[in-house]
Amino acid sequence: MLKRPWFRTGALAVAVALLLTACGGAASSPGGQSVGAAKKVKLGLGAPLTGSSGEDGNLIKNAVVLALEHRKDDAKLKDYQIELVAEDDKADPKEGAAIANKFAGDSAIFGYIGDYNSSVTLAAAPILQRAGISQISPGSSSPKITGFSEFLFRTQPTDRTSGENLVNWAQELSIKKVAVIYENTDYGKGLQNVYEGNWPKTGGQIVTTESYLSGQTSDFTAIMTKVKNAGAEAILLGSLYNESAAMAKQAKQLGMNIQFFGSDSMYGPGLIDLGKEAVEGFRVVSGMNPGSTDPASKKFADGFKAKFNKEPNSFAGQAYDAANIFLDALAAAGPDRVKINKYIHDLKDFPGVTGKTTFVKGDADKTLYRFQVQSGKFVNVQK
Amino acid sequence: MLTTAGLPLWGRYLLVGGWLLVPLLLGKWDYGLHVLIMVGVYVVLALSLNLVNGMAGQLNLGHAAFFGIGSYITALLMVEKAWPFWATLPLAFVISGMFGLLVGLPALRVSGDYLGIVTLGFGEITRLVLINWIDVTHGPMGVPGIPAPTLFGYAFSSKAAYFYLVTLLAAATWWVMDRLAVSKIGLEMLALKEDERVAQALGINVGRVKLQAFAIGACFAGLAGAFYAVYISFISPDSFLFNDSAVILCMVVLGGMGSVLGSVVGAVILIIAPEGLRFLGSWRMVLYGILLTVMMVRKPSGIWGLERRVRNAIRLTAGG
Amino acid sequence: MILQQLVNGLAVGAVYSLIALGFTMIYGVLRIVNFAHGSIYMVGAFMGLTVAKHLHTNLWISITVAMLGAAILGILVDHVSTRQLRSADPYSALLSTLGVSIALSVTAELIWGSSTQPFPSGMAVHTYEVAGVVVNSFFLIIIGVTLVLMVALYLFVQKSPLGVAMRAVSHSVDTARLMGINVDMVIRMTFAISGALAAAGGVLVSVYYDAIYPSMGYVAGLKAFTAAVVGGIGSIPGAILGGFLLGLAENFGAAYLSSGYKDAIAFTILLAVLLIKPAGLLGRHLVQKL
Repeated sequence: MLKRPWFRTGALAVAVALLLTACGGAASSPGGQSVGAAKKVKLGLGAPLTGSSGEDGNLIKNAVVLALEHRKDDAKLKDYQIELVAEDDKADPKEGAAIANKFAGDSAIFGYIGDYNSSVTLAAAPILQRAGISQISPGSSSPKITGFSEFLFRTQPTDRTSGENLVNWAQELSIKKVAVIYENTDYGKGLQNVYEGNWPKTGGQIVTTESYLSGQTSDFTAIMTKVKNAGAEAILLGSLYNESAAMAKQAKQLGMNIQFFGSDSMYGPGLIDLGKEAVEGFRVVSGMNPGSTDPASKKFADGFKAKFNKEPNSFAGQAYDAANIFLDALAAAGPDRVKINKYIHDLKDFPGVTGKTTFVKGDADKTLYRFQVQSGKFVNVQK
Repeated sequence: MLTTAGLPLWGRYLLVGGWLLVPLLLGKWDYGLHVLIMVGVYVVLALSLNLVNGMAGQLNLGHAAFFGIGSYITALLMVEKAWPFWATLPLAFVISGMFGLLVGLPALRVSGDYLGIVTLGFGEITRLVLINWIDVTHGPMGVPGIPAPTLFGYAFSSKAAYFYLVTLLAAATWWVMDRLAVSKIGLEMLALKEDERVAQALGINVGRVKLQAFAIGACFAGLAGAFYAVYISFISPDSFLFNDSAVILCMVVLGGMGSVLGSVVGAVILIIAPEGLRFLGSWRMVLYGILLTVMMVRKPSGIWGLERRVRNAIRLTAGG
Repeated sequence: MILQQLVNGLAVGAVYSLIALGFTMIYGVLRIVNFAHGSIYMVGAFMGLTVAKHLHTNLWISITVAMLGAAILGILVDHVSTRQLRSADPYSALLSTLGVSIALSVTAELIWGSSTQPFPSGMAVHTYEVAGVVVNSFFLIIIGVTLVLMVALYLFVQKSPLGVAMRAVSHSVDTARLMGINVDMVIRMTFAISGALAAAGGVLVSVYYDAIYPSMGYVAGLKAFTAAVVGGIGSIPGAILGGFLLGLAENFGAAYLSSGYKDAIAFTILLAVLLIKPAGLLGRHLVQKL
């Protein structure tokens, strides 16, 4: 009498098994089938395309699309038909792991660009490492990424580089008392550590340190009031552009006149769109090449604006560079994962739109440029 | 004998045998195995939540917190103190259970939606502690480099090994839940769910039953967490959000509240379907939401609805 | 600094109250938790943004349009996800509205994009300083609009025929029906009003911070839910009290305890209130429905 439900379960189990084996068969067939003369290869990408970091995720994806378009007629890549496989990691480490596993089993994948959040990057890394896929993150800044594996790289400047640069800058402006405000993520925490380690060395004082939850905080008045009362002259930030803009506005509304220093994640149109006149004078460091003298940077910036009707930010630049590194590797070494990895390790001074890249323990030692918001634009400054 | 897993013996052998051969069938297709391993993890989670929500009728919206606590116990002991995985496993089980008792305490005072909010609050507080208590939990940086478990000197290196381990855990959980469903505790829980005051009038210590449900449920969620930590080798607070609690709850509801088999079916569907629907991009989540609503509106009792379980229980008590 | 933090907390609390009112009304009438409430708040605010951006209307028109749009959305949410579940257990409604909430927030991202956008208010901000406390014109607008809406709601519920019907339904659906009240109509109106209040809160918040983004619904919904429960779910004055209490507690907590644990404060208060007085501060002890 209870046979019916079991029949259902059995049928379901069989269906699932069939489905999986069928897909398995398809995916484990040797990749890189030849279509005509060109060999089909795939570049994997994982980024948060939805959710509160969806904006950055989509800029990253668009930059990679642009890079592929720019290299379409590259004679060295004419043997390959390159497909971009972009997946939404939803800023969830579990999704990142699933995507990495999906790519690991697909032999046509020759490289992986991703992820954006350090926690997702670190969840995907061991899986990609086992599959021998090189991974370049365009947006993760956690110190744990340094030297994590032979296969994990990043074009994002590290917290150390950005943080020390900002500390020096504030010191050059003879600022003594600072407040540190950071988002409670590995990114914000990483910068906070650098600030706390380096600021006292300048002889200055950190008057207060505050944190908040990213993506779910819009009211910073409590924090700003505290900063105001602590008598800070400047704020060293470990935050993203949207929340930084909110802080600047609320500080202004509280009648504060305080200087802001932020890392490269703020370099982009978002900060100025949101912050308007409140972010005038805002100081950021970024690897983005400020000179319109560099033809490649100009081609990227103009191309991006023309195609997506949006200004690129630092993450877009770093993703564009990551894509070009993979394309160079493919052109030079072919779609062999081991050779591609070796190519990336041997890379010397790759000239990208975010400066020259040489990977040391997976990190790119970037030259950062200083920018200040002046009349609603990022202007390259010395001081 | 007629439990929810009232499958004839030969059927069981066939199913189990078929399942155990899956790694061979899938061969080197790691992605497929990964999905099945995650199915195993979520089977344990759905089964354990089903005990609290489905069997005992205590709304719990923070189950992912126990999953997280279990993961962190295993991860931190293995990374910081170099404990072997097998020693952390029982500890993750017990400590998660203790937190379950703690969360069960408010259930003695409040019920229904109020309890839902209390457990949701517990989930959020757990996440905030994981983020802010940096000295112990490493904060938002998470815990990378969790070593693979070793057995008789061999480290787990292939996905197949993890597959068998999670199968073992899921099967054990399934077996325990099946036993519980027909045990005295299970029937007491059913009475509690149907009507708390009647249960009390029948002489059931309602408070004890509630605490038991929360504690046992949390124990098994902790077990799933311990496995997840070593399998994925990196954990951070991002993995244990309200969203994850909601997904586990959806599995239980989709399968049918209170039904052991239903929870398993719910977990299988809700892990495999989203992977299969990847090509939909963002619309995947829209579809997920719509399906959940349609499911609840059309068939609130789920696939393996409670009526079945009630009928089973009646049959059990009537037919012995 | 204490006074300044008080002012900061009041603005946040006013908005929590507005959203909590919607929660509490639906719970009072239907005994269900409407998980889609936060999404309605967010979508309402975006409707206001669309009008403000494309028609260059002023704040008042944006708020009105958003409230009307969200009222309709509220009725729709009821129509697709809770209408069929009037007699089912509260889990079902909670989960079916959770489904709606997921679908709505992802759809909103697809329509309006996931980034944070500025909200043009068409007004200049004036800042006033009184005894070291800085107050700006948007703060006054938030407090003013919230108070007006609250008084209007109070009068509506106490005096209007529909309000009386609403109270009757919240007391007992069956008795109300026997007395000739169109229960479905009353429920629909409850969803409409609750949506409109949430949208007003959404537009006010977006203007106050000059920022709007699709994921704002989740946290706001959670906080408002907490506020409603702390005040006593089903009680209108309770929701208002709960909202302000929560706003103030969070701001003072962030200022004097730890900003990192700011969001934990809400839940700690919630746990404390529930353990000491499970029905909430102003809630009457609900008789369990059989």
